[in-house]
Amino acid sequence: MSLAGRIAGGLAAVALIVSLGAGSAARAQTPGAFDHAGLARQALEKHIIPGYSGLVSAAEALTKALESYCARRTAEQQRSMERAFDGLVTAWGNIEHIRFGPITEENRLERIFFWPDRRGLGARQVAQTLKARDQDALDPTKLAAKRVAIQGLAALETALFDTPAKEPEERGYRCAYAKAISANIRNLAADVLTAWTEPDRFARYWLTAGEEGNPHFLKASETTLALAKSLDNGLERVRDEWIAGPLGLGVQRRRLTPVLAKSGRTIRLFGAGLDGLHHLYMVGGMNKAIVDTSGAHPGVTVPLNAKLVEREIETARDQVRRLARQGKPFDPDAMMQPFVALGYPLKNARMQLTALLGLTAGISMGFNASDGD
Amino acid sequence: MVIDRRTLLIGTASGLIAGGGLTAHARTELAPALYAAARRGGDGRYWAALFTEDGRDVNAVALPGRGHDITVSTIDRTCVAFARRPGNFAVAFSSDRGREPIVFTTPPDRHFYGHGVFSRDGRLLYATENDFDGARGVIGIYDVSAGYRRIGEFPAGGIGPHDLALLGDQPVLVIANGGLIEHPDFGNGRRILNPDAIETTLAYVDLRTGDLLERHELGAAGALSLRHLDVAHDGTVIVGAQVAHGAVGAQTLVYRHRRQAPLQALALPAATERALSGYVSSIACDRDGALVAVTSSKGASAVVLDIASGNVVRTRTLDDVSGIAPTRVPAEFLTTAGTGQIVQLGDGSDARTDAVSTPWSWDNHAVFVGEAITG
Repeated sequence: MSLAGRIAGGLAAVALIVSLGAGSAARAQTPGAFDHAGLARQALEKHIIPGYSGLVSAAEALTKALESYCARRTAEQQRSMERAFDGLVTAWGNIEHIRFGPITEENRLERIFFWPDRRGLGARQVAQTLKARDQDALDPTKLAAKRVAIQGLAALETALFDTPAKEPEERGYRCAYAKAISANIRNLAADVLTAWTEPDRFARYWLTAGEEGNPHFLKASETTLALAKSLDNGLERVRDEWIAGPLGLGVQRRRLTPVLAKSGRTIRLFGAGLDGLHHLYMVGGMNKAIVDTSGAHPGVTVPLNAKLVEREIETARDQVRRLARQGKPFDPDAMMQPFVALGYPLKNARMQLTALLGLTAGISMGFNASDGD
Repeated sequence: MVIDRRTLLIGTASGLIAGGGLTAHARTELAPALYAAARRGGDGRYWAALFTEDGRDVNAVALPGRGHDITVSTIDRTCVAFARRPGNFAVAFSSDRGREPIVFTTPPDRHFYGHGVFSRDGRLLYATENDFDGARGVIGIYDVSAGYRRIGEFPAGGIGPHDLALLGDQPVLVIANGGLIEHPDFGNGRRILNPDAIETTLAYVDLRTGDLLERHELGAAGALSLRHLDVAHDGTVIVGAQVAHGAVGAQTLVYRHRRQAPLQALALPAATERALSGYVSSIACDRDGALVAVTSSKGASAVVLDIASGNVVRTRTLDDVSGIAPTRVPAEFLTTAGTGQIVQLGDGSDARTDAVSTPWSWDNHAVFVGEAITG
């Protein structure tokens, strides 16, 4: 663990680091209020729109690669298809933490990736589709009207990477189904992107938070809260769902199948997820918005505390990259130790972030006011 | 003051409690009152705790995940903490640490909504649950003496049952059905899948037969969801609503009901409606049943109302407040907040310091358990 990680990990109740000489009149800074509107705009322009654009492009690239692969299954076409699949997994991992707004409408989130599949529902439905060789599932438009669990990345992975098809006809069907799914993911991502980019759609509410009549964001701070929860829940998901689940350390206390295990893309998704969270924090503007309030908090070294969040995410990300370079699939037995260690910086980042946003943005994440029932 | 846990009273029918209430002054001479609530610690772990009004733990048990409400048996003070939706665990624990906690769960195709209530004899436990594949609400029945084995269920009379209570001494459950269709496979079980067709209701169910006795819809209230309720001594039910979807406007959030009558909206002053921010987090009648207090964590407010007239008695601003429970004193409430504050909300005549700080994030609800006596 990094030095920063050890420091943050040692902060029992996440007491923020305090400036030496705090409270003295040595420095007279202009107090800085948290710029909720500025953060909302920066996150939209630098993170959300590029993230969904990347997903559209990656799905288009895979659809194209599958056209060639389905027509002529050479080793080169196979590599090309796998690279494009890697690209789609990466693009989804980069933006999957955004779980508010258009992605939550029309069940788009679950249609793009139905996971976790708690009861094996998706697996059963995909198996039924493959067995029946449902011709409607080969048409992206008709597929979009079918069951949620057979439309997205999990189904695509099964079609391409599950037990190899024996018959040429079955291989052909699987490939055509995979192509339809890829096109469907592209369409879903494009719908989300449109809602975030067209002036009279969701982006309008996002950029006018707190204004009279805004039904989605009643206060200016609610966009910040949405981003903060995305980051916090994203870090939690990597640690408690993606990692702890397969290690048997989750709530269920039994080992769950790792995410994207059939295709061996588990660690790729971990890395892409952490890249996306780091991007949201740094490029999306959260770090800057926090640091810009320094003047209002002379008793706390806000920039240093903000840097700790960045370093914790980077510590986790670097470790995942090392594991990814080893090129091994996720093996719960062999990887227990490194992945348990990975959990610490993720937890530290969350706790540090919660404390910082409480101080600088006045939001209480994940409790009654922000997450009631 | 040190609490000797071996000397906790069994049952809540102490002469003092049954004797028509206390004054705030008299209370200072008494043993501390006990409350229960779910909470989160600074390390991110979740707990259910029994604590005194001044914030000291009497018992605390770790929970597998985030809790919601706690119900208390009037027979032996057994507490059961429920997972908040869409969690599927509940933990039963004794008020005096005398027994090991018992963890039990819903069947795989059900989850809890965070609330439950013991039968009057303490032998059965009723819990609001989601039959998520059937998109219907049910009340699960658990046999306490059999280690909380689930022995059956009956329909809740609506979708998304949330809070529930026994109606006076009648064999009747009153249930706030939130009207929201939710499924654990979608949005972690917290996404509203029927935003344009929310059917929220107040239902009365016969406990002996499971029959629906009465069902009252909010009608044209739009995107409101009835969530929490309490029953005054005279059987008046007070229900709190939340704006579940869309803009917060002039919606009425507090309703009063008596059986065989229509739901009555309590028209609140505009300033009070603003203070509630479209969201009633929790609700509790005072020990005499004359007043009811509602909290709004989103509005950082606690509002005390006169049940009969609907008039606002007092309002207090409290950051991230949510839990509320009656104290032993008429017209007085105890509030808990995500900030760790525990605040006594009295009539202002009591000169005591009425707020304590604790290192916990107190969750949605708090309940009055009874009182302890010192050894």
